[in-house]
Amino acid sequence: MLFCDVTGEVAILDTTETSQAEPSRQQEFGQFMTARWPGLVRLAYGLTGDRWLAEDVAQAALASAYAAWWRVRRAEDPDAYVRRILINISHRRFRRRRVAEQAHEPADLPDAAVADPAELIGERSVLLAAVRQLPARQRAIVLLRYWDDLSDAQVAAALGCSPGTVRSQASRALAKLRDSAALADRGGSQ
Amino acid sequence: MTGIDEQTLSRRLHQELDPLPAPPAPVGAVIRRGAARRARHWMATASGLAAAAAVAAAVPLLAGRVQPAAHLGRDVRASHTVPSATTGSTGRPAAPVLTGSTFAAGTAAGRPWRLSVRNIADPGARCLPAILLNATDGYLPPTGAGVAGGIASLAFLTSVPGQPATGYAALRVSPDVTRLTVGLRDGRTLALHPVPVQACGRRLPLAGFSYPQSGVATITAYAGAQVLARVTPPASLFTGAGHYAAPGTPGSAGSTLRLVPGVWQQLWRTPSAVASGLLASGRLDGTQWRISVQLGAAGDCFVGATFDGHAATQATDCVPIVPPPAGAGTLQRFVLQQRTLHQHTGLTGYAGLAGPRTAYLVARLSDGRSVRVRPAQAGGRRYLALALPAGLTVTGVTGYDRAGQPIARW
Repeated sequence: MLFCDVTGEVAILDTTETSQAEPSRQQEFGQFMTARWPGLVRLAYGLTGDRWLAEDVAQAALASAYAAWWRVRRAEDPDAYVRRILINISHRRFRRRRVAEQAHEPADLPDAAVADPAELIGERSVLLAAVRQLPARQRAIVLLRYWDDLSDAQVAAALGCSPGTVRSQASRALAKLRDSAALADRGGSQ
Repeated sequence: MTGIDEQTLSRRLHQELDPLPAPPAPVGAVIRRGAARRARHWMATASGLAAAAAVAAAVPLLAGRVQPAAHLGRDVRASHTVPSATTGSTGRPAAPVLTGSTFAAGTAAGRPWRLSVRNIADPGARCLPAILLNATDGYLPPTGAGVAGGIASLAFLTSVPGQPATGYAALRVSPDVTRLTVGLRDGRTLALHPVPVQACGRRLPLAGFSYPQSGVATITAYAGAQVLARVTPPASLFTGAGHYAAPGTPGSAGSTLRLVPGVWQQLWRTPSAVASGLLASGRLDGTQWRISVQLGAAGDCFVGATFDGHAATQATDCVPIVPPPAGAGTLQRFVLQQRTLHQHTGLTGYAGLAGPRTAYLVARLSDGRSVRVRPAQAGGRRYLALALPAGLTVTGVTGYDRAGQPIARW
């Protein structure tokens, strides 16, 4: 199991609303999505390291949220609900992608006769690369706690864990980042 | 040790993630995706009920006249039915669109199989429905409206890699067909029901089955008790003697291609190319070359042409029709120009399909150089092609997305 309480994408879908409610539901969802979209894309990028994949993961998470909108909007914290969907989707995609495709190492790039923008990757995302080496739960906790600035209780709600688990996992993640060779090479405290 | 603390980590994460530009929120697309997801959930629920009803209905049939052998009962079945409407009380869409719809499935020679319909064009391009065996080997059924009187199209997959003893058939029937019987050459009889599948805005009633190596004797379509059509496929289809007219040369007896495993044989003549287009061209060692694609009855055919100022050559390499690959793309090698007494160099062609995310590939060559390859559109699909002098080969490829990020390498 990935998290303390894994629900995956929303499994129980809307079974009560009628089509008459559709326009207002779409309007309400549209406002919700527009406000959260940039943050969700960035969170997904932090989790996956792939901008295109991040947009797709964010879309998939929001589509799942729309499919169960009645449940999401009645949730105590709809944002936590959507984040949780997104994190689970991104983990599955990330894992599938790692299995399906060989991980790219910038150092292995060919001596290209053409300009190769991939060479910039190593410079840009050393920290994110180190974060993505963390186990899935720790990766999510680092991003929610240190980038999204959520409280331990909010992170716990988003992951279905206890706040104590969040604290302990955050501590372990931080320790691993301190030991990260990539960060050490780049001077992590700069 | 890096000395990174919580504050530093937070600051650096903000530095890296906050400037990331996010495109405008695609609200409409997400709502459509979410609605489709809801519809699929309802389809799954309704299909479960329909399957239970089908099992109940099949019991008297199995006890009646058509009594396939025990293993054949598992071999052939239409596994999915599409409910005509969902329950009104919930206000669900009356006719949700199925994508990747399976209309027949079973087990043949111990291997599971399924026939499904899927759009094989790139997302956002024209819709191009194909019937696929196990999500790979496909053919393009005619989708024109207004077929009447039984069987509109019939195709056989007689050569399946790794399955020498099994063939597959897929039919598009007219809407008035209620059932089909298939007489096998080994004396057994199959009973099928067409399954309406919504594909690219059209409703296609489809049926499919697997058959043993000996082949199919007759296929009969019924509307109730009335016979609408009866087809007797030629025996040559099942003897391994199949061939295709070369693309662009319909009816030319002198231009035939070998039977390619994974390419379907359509019983009636269809347009030789559903789509075609130039993929790449250039000049190498004084020889002009061009590689084009013809997508149609013979599969995905890459046609290479050369002209060295004295003589012109043409080479065609056909492969099974497959959906766009999930990764960066595929490249396969073929002889673009034979090395002859008069053409000393020879040329090697590479062609394949680009993945939906692939903006370009960087192909590493055996002499250490690299070459960038951009996809070209044809029929809503994106293809890759390049030509090299005969002594050079592609040793590796890295695919990049539109943002210039590497997405896969091999």
